[in-house]
Amino acid sequence: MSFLSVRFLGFLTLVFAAYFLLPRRWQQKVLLCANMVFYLSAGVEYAGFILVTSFSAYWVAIFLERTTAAYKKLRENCRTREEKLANKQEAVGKKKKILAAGLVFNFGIWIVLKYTGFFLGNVRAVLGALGVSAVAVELPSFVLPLGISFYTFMAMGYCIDIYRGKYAAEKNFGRFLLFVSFFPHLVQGPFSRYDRMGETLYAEHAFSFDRLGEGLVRMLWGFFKKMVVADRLGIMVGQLYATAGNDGGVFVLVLMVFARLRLYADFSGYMDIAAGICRVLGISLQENFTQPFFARSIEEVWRRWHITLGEWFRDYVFYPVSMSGMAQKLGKRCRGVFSPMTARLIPSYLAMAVVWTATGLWHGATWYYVLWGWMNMGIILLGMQLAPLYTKVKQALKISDENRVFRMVQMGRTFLIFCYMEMFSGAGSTKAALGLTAALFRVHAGRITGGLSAFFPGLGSFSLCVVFTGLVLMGIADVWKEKGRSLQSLLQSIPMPVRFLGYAALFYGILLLGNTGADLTGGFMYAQF
Amino acid sequence: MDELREILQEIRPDLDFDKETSLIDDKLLDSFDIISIAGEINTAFDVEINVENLLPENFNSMEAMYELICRLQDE
Repeated sequence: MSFLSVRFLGFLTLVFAAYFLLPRRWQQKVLLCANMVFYLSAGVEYAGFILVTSFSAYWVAIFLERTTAAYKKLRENCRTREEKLANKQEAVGKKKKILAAGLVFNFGIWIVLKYTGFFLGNVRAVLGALGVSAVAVELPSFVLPLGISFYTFMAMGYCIDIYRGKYAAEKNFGRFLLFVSFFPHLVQGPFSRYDRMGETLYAEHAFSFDRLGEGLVRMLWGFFKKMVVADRLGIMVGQLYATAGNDGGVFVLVLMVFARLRLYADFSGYMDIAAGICRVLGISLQENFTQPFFARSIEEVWRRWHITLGEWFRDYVFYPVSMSGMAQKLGKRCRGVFSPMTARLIPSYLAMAVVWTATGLWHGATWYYVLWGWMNMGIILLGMQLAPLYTKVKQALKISDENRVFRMVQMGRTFLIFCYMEMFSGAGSTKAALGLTAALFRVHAGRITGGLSAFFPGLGSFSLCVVFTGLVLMGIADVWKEKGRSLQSLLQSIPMPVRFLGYAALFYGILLLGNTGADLTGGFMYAQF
Repeated sequence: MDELREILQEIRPDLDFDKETSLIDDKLLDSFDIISIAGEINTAFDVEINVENLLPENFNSMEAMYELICRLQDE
């Protein structure tokens, strides 16, 4: 059930009504039923996958907690330091086995469904290169159960947290299933954390007109970004991908900038809808974007764009890998070879390589996405290595980090690199991406005489005005938020009659200007993961 | 405490570790700094900071890091 369908709006109305009209003690049950209806509407055959992952994660957490408690009790009888250490090591060993079983089982399901074709394709290529003729079988390609890349990560993050003793395991399976299958974050995130969301997810909420208003306005804003801006840009970007390689130069520049803006409007639009739904219900949903185009480095971009994915990889991959015995030993061995600063960073570099390979593969099961991940990593590492040089240059030129022009230059540079990365990932293949890269530096003035429409194919002058108006509004909203002010305060500062006229304009704007063609049911870009 | 101060100042000479009390919450230290600091502490104090110890409350100030070291040494 797409968030963009009329059916979903009907479903949502029923959920809101049941949530607030039935006794409050039933609210969790209402949401759990809503999750099941939402999930089953995507296909009954896939419901088993989310149930198996939820059930196994629930029991892994329980076993981990029981093991911790049992060894804590035994520890009370330990008298010497050696006995305590042995007790701790035994407990850690047992807990590691339980956690590993949960991780292997659940990530195993996800990997088999998502990466079997990629893995067998590579095996076939290697065998072919070695002169072994592989059996000519068609590579399998499974249809992924709805949200598997999101709910698997959230459930496994929960298990790792319990292993680390961060909080107590959930004892009620229904409550845990409610968290894993919660429909606003199921399709394309954010990657919610049980401890951050649980408190408001399980609490009883009274109906509030204020929350209803705020939530509906945020949902409207999300629909506007998706249906009025992103889907229009999608038409243009799709056509530019086909022609910009031949036209070169400015056309590729336009493509990469608007491909990124389109993804931002699409993905953040979804997040606004999801956050709006949660606001109405009184449930807190973690933000996934904090004005990414204000970032001054690619490293900072990833702290502002798809935040919860970056945080997941930081907490559950980057930290464990960089603190592992192997990474720490490697760092120590490198002390005599590299400078102390570089040697200290070796464990982090190793962890970065793992994180960005995994991030690339998470986005797509191809070497092309791995390359995209490595490019991100390369830019971040280059920035880190060149940091001392930058500092010296800045000192020589007497440029302060807070200098407005300098900040703008940094933001502009980061924005263009980030746009390039989006064009690269959207090109479809390494060959096509490299072709577009080469075309970026080729001047072909032939079609520039075609006027503005040549740069924005598929969009008439009216659509172009609509898109630019939408982008300007998005820009104003981001500037406001970057100044530390809430959008709510911006709206409250507008006189009420004007504000309500604005809401009405937004609502009718979506109805009249929304791209209600084929793309309406085409869904969101990140839902494919 | 002096040895810890030296380690911290070598890694981040731009920060005043005697004054800062929200190193993580104010995002003054990033993930790379934390890994570098944890690695150096493990070597210098012969303790084992593991991933479970990488919590904001353990790294928000020099004092908190020192308390973590003492706690790990006692274990």
